[in-house]
Order: sequence, then C-alpha cells, then structure tokens
Amino acid sequence: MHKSRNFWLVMGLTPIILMLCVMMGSSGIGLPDITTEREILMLRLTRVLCGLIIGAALSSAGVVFQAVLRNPLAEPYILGVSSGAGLGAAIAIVSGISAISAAILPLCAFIMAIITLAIVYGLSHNGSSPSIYGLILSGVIVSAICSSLLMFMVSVSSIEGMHSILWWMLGNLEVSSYNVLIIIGVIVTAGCIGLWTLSRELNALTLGHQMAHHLGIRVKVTIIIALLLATLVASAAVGVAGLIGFVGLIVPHIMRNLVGADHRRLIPAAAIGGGAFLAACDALARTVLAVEIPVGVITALLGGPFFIFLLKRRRTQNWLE
Amino acid sequence: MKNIPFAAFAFFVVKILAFLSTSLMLSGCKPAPAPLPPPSSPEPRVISLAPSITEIVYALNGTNQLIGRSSACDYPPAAVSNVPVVGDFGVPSLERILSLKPDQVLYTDIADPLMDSKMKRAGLHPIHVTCDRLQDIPTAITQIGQLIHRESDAQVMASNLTWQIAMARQQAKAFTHRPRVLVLIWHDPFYAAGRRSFVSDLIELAGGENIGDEIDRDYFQASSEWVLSHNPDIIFCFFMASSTPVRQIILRQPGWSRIKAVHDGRVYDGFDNNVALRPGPRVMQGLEIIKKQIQE
Repeated sequence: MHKSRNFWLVMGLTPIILMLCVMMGSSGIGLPDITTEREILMLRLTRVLCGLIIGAALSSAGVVFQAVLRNPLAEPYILGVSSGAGLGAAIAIVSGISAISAAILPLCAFIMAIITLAIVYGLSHNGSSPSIYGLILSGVIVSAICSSLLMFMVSVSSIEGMHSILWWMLGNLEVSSYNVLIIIGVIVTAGCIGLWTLSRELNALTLGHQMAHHLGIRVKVTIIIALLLATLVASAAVGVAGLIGFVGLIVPHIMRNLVGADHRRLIPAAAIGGGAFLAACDALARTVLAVEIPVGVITALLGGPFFIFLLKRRRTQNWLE
Repeated sequence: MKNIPFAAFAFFVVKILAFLSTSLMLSGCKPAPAPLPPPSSPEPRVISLAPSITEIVYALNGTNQLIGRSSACDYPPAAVSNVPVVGDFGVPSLERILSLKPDQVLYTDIADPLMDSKMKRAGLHPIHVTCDRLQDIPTAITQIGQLIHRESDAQVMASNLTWQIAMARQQAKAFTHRPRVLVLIWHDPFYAAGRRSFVSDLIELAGGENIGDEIDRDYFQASSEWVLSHNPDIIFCFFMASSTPVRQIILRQPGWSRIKAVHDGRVYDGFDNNVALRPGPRVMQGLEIIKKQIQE
C-alpha cells in the first residue's frame, strides 16, 4: 500500500535530511570539527532542531485548520496569531525591553499571540460556544487591527527599531537561548500529540459536520479544542521564529497527497516532514548566497513548484474532488 | 494495517523525546557560559560590523588586526577589500563570525536585538561601540584604541578631533546669519533628518539650522506640506542611491518652486554620503563639504 510506504519514506528520510542540514552553513559545507569548531557545530545543531520544531508546529497546525474549516486555503495564522505576535515583538523591540533578557522577545510575541487568540475567542462567543464563522471573522478583524497598530509602531520608531521589527517579521530560526528551545519543544510536542489524539474526530469532520454528528462526534467541542490547540502551537512557533509563511499552508497539502487524508497518519507525517522541510529550507537559506536569505523566501520558492507538480500529477487522479 | 497509527505514534514520540533530550544535553553541557575576559594578546584580532568602526580601526593603523567586516565597510577600498565579509550591515552571520575566531566583535547596531547574547553564548566577545553622534566619535576612537591596543595613536587622534570640533563650534557661533537647512535622505517618501541625527550635528557646526531639529527623532517621514510651511533656505539631498539625478526630483516637486531653496537654486546633491552621513574619522571632511555649500 503506497500510502503507508510513503509514510515510512517520510519518517526514514527525515534523519538523513537533518544530517545533511547540519553539514550546511555559511562558513562552509561539511561537518564542523567537534574539537576545534564546537561552537559552529552547536549553532547548526540548535538551528536544525529549531527548524524541526517550528516546522512541525506550523505544519500540524495547518493540517488541523484545513480539516476543521474544510478550506484548502486555511493556515495556522488565520485566527490573527501572526499579527498579534508581530505586535508583541514590535512592542518589545521599540520599548527596549527585548535587550534585557534573551527570553523577553519570544515571550512578548507569544503572550500577545495568546491575548489576540483570547480576544478573537471572546468576540466570537455569543453566550454559548462560538461558531466557526464567528471565529474566522473576528480573527480577520482582530488581525487587521493588530496589523495597523504594528504599522503605526513601525512608522514612529527610529531607523534601527524599524530595521529590527522588519528583521523579526521576516522570520529567523536562530534561537537566543537553549531554555527557549526546550520550552518551545515541550509546548509543540504536547500540542502535536494532543492534536494527534483528535485524529478520529478530525477524520469524521472532513466528511462534513452533519456526517460527523451522526458518527457520534461532539462537533462543536472538537472544533474549538482543535482550533485552540493548533493556534497555541502556532503561537509558540511564531513567538520564537517570527513570521515564517507557506509552511503551514503547503506542507499539509503535500503530506495529504503523500500519505493520505487519514489524520492518524497525516498529523505525525506533517509534523516530522514539515520539520525536515523547514530545516532543509533554512540550511539552503544560510548557504546559497553570501548573505543569509530569509527562510520564508526559500519555503515558498521550494514548496510552491513542488506543490504545483503534485497538483498537476494528481489532477488526472481526481485528487481535487 | 491497523497498528500503523500506533507504530507511527510510537516513532513520533520516540523521535521527539530523542530531540528533547538532545536539547537538554546541549543546554546541560553549557552551564551559563560566563564570557571570558577579553584576551590580552598584543594584537587582538577583531571583526568590525560597522563602517564607522572599520574606518576608525584603519585610521589607527589596525587594518592588519581586522579579520572580518560587514559588506557596508567599504573604506578605504584598498585596505578592506581583502577582509572577509561576515554579512550585511546590521545582519551579520553568527556562523561566519565564529569561523573566523575573532578575539573581539565590535558593533554599533544589529537588527536582531538578541544578537549580543547569542554571540556571548557562543563564546565570543561582542563589544558595543556607541558611534551615532558627533560627540561620540572621539570617545569611540579612544575606546577602539584601547581594544586593539593602539592607545597612544588613539589618544592623539581623539584629542585632535575634539579640538577641531571645538574650533568649528567656536567659528559657527560667530556666524550672524544661520540659513535654515532641510536635509533629505530619501525622496519616496521624503525622509528628513531630525534632531537625533548625526547630520544635524554637522549642519549646526557648519553654521546652519536644521529645520528637522524640531522633531525629536533620528530620521522622519516629512510631508510636502511640512516642507512648504517651513520654507528652507537650503536643501541637501543625501540620497542613498546617489546615481539618480536627485536634484531634478526636488526641483520638479509640484508646488515646491515657491520654496526659497528651490527658487534660489540652493538645492545640492552629489555628495559622498559615506563621508557626510558616517560618524567616523573623516567627519571633518564631511563638515568642510557642507560648510562650503552653506556659506556659499
């Protein structure tokens, strides 16, 4: 059965890809010497690990958003997380508190993302549990408000502040401290496992809410839990790495194509495969040119054509039904 | 087939746990790396991440100690072109810096607010040099002189420069007429120099009055209306892309023909921006250029 073959292929290729990523860097290709270039090796290892975690977070969150909202264009930032986190980062940078400790900037971004999520959730709440459309609409509105506040902060900040905010928004996988990496690792792992336990419910939801209801799924509760969990994971990722686009949109599609739409297999495959994909993109981003390219550029440049290729190939097999 | 999800889950968990333990190990084997005191080698090897620092190092005859630079460090070309580049201004590559094994990393501004702590964690010695304003330059020269062990040269140069600045300030006080100057660094949109900019110091020393001084910022976006209402006597165009005929852009602005500077033909461009906008040892040259135009 080639879906399961593909699944094991993704799992098997990931360690090899990660190994290759460690061998790539701006100071040269090859594994750094553990004795003389220990710092460089550490730098690359933490960066690859960070890529794996962030990629896993964005991809599995993307899978869940697409399943729950039954929209192929859904992505982890849809509830305004990215704008909220961006605003948090800008506040930390402009006020200067980001210089106090390495954990402040990610923390501010994460907290603002969670506040944004809470506001979105509160706005869509009309007495009982919120509706999906309510969630999406308030997500769009709150996101727009956060974006305009962010633009305001950019426009009034000094040249250096502006530089820093834009740098943050382009995304970066270089972590500032190991503790930050451990915390995000725990949050993302727990979140992904949580989402994975919802696999059966998610499978039922992709058949339609009516159908899921008749299969004995508590539709609304499942949807809310899945969306909140996915957004939490995405917020943690954005807090650490800034806005890395495209991974949460494209990797779920690619993985669904490779391993099938069964979430019991799809979520782990998207997490591991997405992590490897982002780590690989980052390795290229810091190697191909003399100057480091924002990793988001590579994710789109690599993921886009591959996605089109799959789309073309599958069109004949009615994949788009 | 039924056991595949479980196997996948087990695999997934094992994998994540393995990575987590690796990360714990990574943090475990590096207990809060207290940065070592700067090595006291006779000629410390330094990386400069700012053109102004590079120029100071060169002026102190320390180019042989310069083992890395930013891509913006372009002066003097003959001395720095062979020095490896570690990244663009403000966005250095940590890995490239590490691979050069410097004793010190000197910087003014970095986009990543956490880069200093990242460098320290990697065992480097980053040193922030404040070199933004006119009065910072002599201090920066002294500081860099101490860092690269060229104290006596630095002392002479710093006190020389301090004296020159004081003289220029004395002269500037004697001017009875102070033309009102607008300094533009970009045209789309118009970006003007405010009170916190380096070029504002130069305008003051050259006997002019920077109309942007009323804004407490380094650079700010200026509207056409703001420019019209302030009616500057002189407009300086220090555009980053100096190849474009920037003077023409100013002269063609709708409504700007009423501005005194435009009317009198006192719109100046074609400066070497690296002299006029860079707070380095060539500051007096930059001042002379500006002074010549203001006192014309």
